[in-house]
Amino acid sequence: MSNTSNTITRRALAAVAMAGLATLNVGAASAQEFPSQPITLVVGFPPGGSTDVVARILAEHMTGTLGQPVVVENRPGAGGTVGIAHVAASDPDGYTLGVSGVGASILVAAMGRDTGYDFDAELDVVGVMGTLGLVIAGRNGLEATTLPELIATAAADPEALSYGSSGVGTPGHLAMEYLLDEAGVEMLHIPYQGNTPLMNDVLGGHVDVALLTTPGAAEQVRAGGIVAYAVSSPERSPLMPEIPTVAEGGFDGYSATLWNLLVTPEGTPDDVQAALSEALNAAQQDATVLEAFASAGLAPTLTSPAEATQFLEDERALWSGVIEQLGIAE
Amino acid sequence: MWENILLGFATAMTVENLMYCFVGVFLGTFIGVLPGLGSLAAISMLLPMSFYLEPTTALILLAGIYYGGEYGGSIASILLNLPGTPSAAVTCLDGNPMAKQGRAGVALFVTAIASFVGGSVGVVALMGFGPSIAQLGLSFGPADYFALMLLGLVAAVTVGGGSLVKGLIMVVLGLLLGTAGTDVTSGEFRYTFGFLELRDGVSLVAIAMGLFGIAEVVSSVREAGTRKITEKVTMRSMMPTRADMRRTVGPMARGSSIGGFLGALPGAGTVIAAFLAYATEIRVAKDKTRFGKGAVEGVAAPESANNAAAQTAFIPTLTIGIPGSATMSIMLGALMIHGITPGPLLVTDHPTIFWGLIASFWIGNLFLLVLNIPLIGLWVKVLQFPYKYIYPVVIALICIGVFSMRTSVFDVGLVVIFGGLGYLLQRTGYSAAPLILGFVLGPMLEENLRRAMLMARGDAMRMVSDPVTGSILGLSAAMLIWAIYGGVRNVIRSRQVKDIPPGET
Repeated sequence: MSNTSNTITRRALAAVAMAGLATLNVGAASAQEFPSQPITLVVGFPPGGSTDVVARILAEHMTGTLGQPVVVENRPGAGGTVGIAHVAASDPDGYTLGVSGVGASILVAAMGRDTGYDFDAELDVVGVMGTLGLVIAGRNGLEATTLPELIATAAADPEALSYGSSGVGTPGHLAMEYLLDEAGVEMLHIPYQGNTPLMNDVLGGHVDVALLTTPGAAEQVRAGGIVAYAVSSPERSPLMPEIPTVAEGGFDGYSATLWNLLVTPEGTPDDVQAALSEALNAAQQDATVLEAFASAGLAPTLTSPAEATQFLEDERALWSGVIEQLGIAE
Repeated sequence: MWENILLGFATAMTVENLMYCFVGVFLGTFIGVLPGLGSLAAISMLLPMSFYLEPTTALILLAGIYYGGEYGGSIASILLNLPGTPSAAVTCLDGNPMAKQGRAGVALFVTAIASFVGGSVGVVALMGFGPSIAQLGLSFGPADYFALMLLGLVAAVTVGGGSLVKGLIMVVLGLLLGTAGTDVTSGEFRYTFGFLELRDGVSLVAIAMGLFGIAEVVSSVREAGTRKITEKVTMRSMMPTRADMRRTVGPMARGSSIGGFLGALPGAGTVIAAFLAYATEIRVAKDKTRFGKGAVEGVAAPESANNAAAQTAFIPTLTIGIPGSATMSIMLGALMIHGITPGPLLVTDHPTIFWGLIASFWIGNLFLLVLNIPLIGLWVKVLQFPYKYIYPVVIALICIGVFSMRTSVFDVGLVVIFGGLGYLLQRTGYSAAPLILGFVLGPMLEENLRRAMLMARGDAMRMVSDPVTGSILGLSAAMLIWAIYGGVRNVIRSRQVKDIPPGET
């Protein structure tokens, strides 16, 4: 049953392509037929992580809009690239989608490492699944209470401070190096494997400064376990509105955000992409989803597939620029 | 304090929560028994259910699967030498020899009791000292972790019985396997041979299931036609003797303490807890030769340790919001789906979740005990089943289980390779257990040593001079000297024995 309607969709599309007719009618008709079977949403991180939770919240709502289950499938590994490599190799029929973060979309490739796919050639961007800032936080007992003071400490003694990130070439590492480079100071980089051990060590006072994701950091700040100096996003975080942005701290124009893109294999029909984009945007306007986004510190981001592609281009220009400026690519 | 505990039991005792607790531990036991299918896979699959459940109820269900799985993992280890979970690999060492001696019922009974004791100790630690244990865990820095892992490695050499040299070889092999993957300090790929699947290292489950599961099946095929165990199970044969019970008291106490402590350290986990508890028993035992041949202590200690660790793993997870393992991250994910961000204020902001969950742990452990003692007879019947039916099912389950961990076909291929290696090791008399521990500890050892050296800016003396790090390192040195001394003494003794004329020994 599902196979039949699928074939019809493809035939209809082929006919349209051959006739060179990009009529709205046919597009709308096949959009109504999509989806006719469950959709798989591939997440490149293990279940329970922040990316996974975002994906599940959105998948839950998109299931309602699309009328077919959107099932999250975890294919964790190598900064999310294992999952995206799987999506890139799937059929471009809109039934295999991926959640692609900063690392899988830009950083891993920009650092000169093999991802197993060529993002632009093998994937289409359908939409943005929310954006999130990083928190620059310090252990209790550091003398500095503001970002300028922290920078001054590092300027006075290049061996005074160490900072932890969730890994080499992760947004936290690059965002901090970018900041240190702008400020012209040095701190010792200590890479961790993810946010969890990093949080452990900054709470325990083993590392001085850490770049942490917003919701977890906000909770620790509220409990008094760490001190927040600044957020890396261009706007203040609704979870900790009293903490200034890095830009406000004297680094005009500084911006580093985390985000996830909804991607499909290259060649996914436009009408299918439009249907998915609509469902994604509808989810990011739903009250329940917005509430969940707020508690996760996520800003909803509504885009068309074209706007999302442009968003990726802008972000790539920013991050590649940072990597180039720092001279850390291989 | 008492109010909180009462609040907890009031939350956990609602009909709905009791039901989900029972479903959780039952499902967990069942999945734990199936080789290769770990609780992680089951919890991942059931995570979407938490959308439709109260957060407390969702956690009670997921947690029940987790610690139920820890218990269930030992059943197949004892009966078929097939560890259901990597931490149950230790239980194979003495549990399976017991089964081969017709004492499977006793081994399962001891497992049930030891698991209950370990679990209860863990729950008490969680209730009474949760936040302070969490603070202690935080004070452990990279250098301390390194020292602790080193202690674990030194202990590992003694696991597996028999030759010290063979143990050492296996530990080193495990360490080498652990070096494959992405180097944390530089981000470079190491020993991935161009396979992108190896960027995160070799899968632990693939190694454990290959070396133990597949290898066991392959070596049993040789005798599958002839081997028949028609053991009659009576209630009497299930009950441990008075001597058995006396022997298990000490191991359970030591195992629970070791497991309880290690479980609370993020990252250390149940595998290390089980191994260290076992190694400790060998160290303190008067007659070390009994281990590996069906010593009841060798079942009681690791079982109490991994169940205690399974409970105390919730300490850093719930009291400071730091999940110690992949499974714990899923638990926190279930809270995040409900918009609750885990952190140090969870206990005060959401007391019903915290105390309700802890109370359910103890109820769940009681369920496990009540559920499993009557089931022992049923489990033992598995042994009477012809192996030609069991083994194909086992292989299929292992493949499904390994695949489900990372949705990776590559890992299934690895299982086959490690199965071959495991068979080879078995035929040549090498124990795979130290390899597993070396593999688990190696990457953590390296990562923490390098991080500690980075923080000390290359000054190794800073590590030795730290009181905590220094004393743990000292303990490792003492254990090593003890082991070498014991080894030398044994060699001398065995030479003396050989001098005695035949007929007089």
